[in-house]
Amino acid sequence: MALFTISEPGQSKLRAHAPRKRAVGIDLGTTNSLVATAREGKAEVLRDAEGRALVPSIVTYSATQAPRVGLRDYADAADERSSIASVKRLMGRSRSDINYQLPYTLEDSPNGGMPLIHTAAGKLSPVQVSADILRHLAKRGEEALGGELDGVVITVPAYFDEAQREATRDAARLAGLKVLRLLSEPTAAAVAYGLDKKLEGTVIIYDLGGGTFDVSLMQLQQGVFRVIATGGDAALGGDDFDRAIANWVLEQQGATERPDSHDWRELLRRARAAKHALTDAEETPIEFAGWQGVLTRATYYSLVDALIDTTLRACKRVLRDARMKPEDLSDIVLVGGATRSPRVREKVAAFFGREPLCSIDPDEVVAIGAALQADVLVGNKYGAETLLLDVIPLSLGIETMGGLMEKIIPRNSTIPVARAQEFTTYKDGQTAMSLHVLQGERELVQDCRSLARFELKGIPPMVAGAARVKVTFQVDADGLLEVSAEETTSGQKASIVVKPSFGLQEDDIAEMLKQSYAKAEEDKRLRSLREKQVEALRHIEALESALEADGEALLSAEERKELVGMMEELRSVAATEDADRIEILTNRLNERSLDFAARRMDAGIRQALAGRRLDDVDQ
Amino acid sequence: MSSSSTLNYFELLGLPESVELDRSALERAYQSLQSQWHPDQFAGADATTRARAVQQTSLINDAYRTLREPVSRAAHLLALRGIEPDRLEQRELDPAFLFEQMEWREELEAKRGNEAALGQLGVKVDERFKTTWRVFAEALAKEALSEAKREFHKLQFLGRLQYEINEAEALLLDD
Repeated sequence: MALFTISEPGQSKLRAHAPRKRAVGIDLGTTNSLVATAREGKAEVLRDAEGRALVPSIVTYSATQAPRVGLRDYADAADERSSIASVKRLMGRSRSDINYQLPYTLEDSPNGGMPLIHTAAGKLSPVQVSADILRHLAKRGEEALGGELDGVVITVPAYFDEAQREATRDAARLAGLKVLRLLSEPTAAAVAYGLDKKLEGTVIIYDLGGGTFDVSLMQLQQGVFRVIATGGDAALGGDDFDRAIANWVLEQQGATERPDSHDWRELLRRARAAKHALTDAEETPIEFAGWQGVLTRATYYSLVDALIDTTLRACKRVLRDARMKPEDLSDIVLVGGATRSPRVREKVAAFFGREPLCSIDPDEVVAIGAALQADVLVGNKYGAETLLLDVIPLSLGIETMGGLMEKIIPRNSTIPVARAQEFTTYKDGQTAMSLHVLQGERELVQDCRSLARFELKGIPPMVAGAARVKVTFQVDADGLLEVSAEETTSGQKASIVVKPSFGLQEDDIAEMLKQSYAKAEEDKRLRSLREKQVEALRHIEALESALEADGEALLSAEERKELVGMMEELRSVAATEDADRIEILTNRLNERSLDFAARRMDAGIRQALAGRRLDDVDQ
Repeated sequence: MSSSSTLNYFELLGLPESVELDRSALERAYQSLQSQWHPDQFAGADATTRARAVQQTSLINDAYRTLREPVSRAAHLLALRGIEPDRLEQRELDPAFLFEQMEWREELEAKRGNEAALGQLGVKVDERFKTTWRVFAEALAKEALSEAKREFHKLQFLGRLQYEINEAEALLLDD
């Protein structure tokens, strides 16, 4: 266990005889999703029996059958109505955020979070629909790798905010997956180019997918992938090009009312076909509901240029944030299916003044990067050390008097990051303080996204302005935030930790988990038992080697005796089928050994500070 | 900032404590510590270990950020000498400097929207920042701490002005 292998940070933690672990990278896209796996630094996307890598991100629900994922053609109209596409756009969003037409019915959720979607299988949260897609992809991975997955890396748009990342993580939990990391899509693409094409230097990753746009400015150098600045639009993608054409058709046709959802789907399909036809042709015929017309390239450009310009403005801002100019860049990398569009390529090339790179398939590159990183994170080391330094895309802060947002962590801060700020009471004898956590760049609270509200209670009564409430923001490597608050002047401390869980509450997740577990109760029980046994043995093994290495130096004889006693007890219980007891004893041992681990880590960082490793010192 | 007064970020990164900083040494030290402590190195570990790795790397990130930017580095150097850099006494700033600041701020307001004029103002402020920095460095070298603190506050003002000029230029780009 890494907890105890800290004396050799950054080194291989896996012994040579350890079995290969099964890990995949998942690109959970708005229109299409992919799964890939890697071995020894070579990744490949996993295909179905017909050789197709792309899985349409569509889930078809029925009242009687299990959900089907990736159906391209519908057997009947009932299928079509219950087919949920582009669910990624709903993740971490409330109904008021959705200002475009959807071919299915939404309903406000009772707790004011993400809306529920009406399907033949009942009302479902976007998180449940995403979980179904993840299950399907994971299954493809399990079949290809011959067993249960040990871990997955799931990519998210760099510009996804807290609520969207939380929702994605919840979906993975619901699908029963162990998430090694949520990785930004442009960062994943950079990993693929860096490891596979040996790309180095300062690069722009321009990532235009079906429903999201991201741009990241990154430095790539000998296995270090560092995001300098990032920007984008979490609700702009190639699908919007189709929508622009469809709306143009309706306008030409003089339609007075919106088509129903069946006709709208059909219109979008034709719009997409016309868009593809214009790649080679100067113009293409298009017809819809009795109307016939011709879409020329010039008209098409007039429809989509504004959308492409929006992406270029985001590029400009990112260069600005990084204090750089297009000349400072060594390469531009294109990612995402929508970058196949010649118009996009033309305008990107003109903006940056050079031809962009697209030597890895823009649909596959994100999944490939995710797979390469998953292989490393799960512990299948093969010599290539990578370090991924990501940033948060949007500033995090707190509401202050007058409805203003006070930034605590500015955008583009490298994560993990922790920052604290002090606040005080404004009334005499005030014993509670309510805190409103926000994300965004604007000054006014109403223009920012509300992530969480919580109250700090138990502040001892004092005169106004005397209390010192320290609010700490901590963002982990996945970009997920934890906020804690604490009153520091009195001996009496009150503190609270809140995780923004926009939309889904812990109870909701627990309930959904229960539903999905109900069918396979016994399998789960066994699986859970195995996991607990393995976890227990890993702890024992790690502690043993830690004791061997540093037990003498860092622990008293009494402390050593206690740890060894607990370890032996756990070893004998781990051989039984008593999962609860294994867990209790594992946790107890873990707790007891925390202090030892902390001492080792402190010793470790002292060595690191001195520029040496423990093994140098031992000699 | 209270923790920074106890923890020496130069030491944390294994760099000599100095006003001027070797940028490439900073980068090297930062990347080497990050690769040792980044939570990705502990992906398979238990929650407590991961939480600890997150704390360590947050600290390393903060140290890097503090030392990289001249103004925060100056504040840190003062804090290490037991001086609370955030507390500004009115008498510490000379009226001529404040007057000049007010003039430059008015100039910034007047020139919003004019890219070339903003650029010129930026050059002027950068120049003043450089000369002030030299005075700060000399004061610190002879441990003339109250003088160093006075110059630091000037750097703070100038740094903020630089930031605002930059933001004004960024706004022009958005149109």
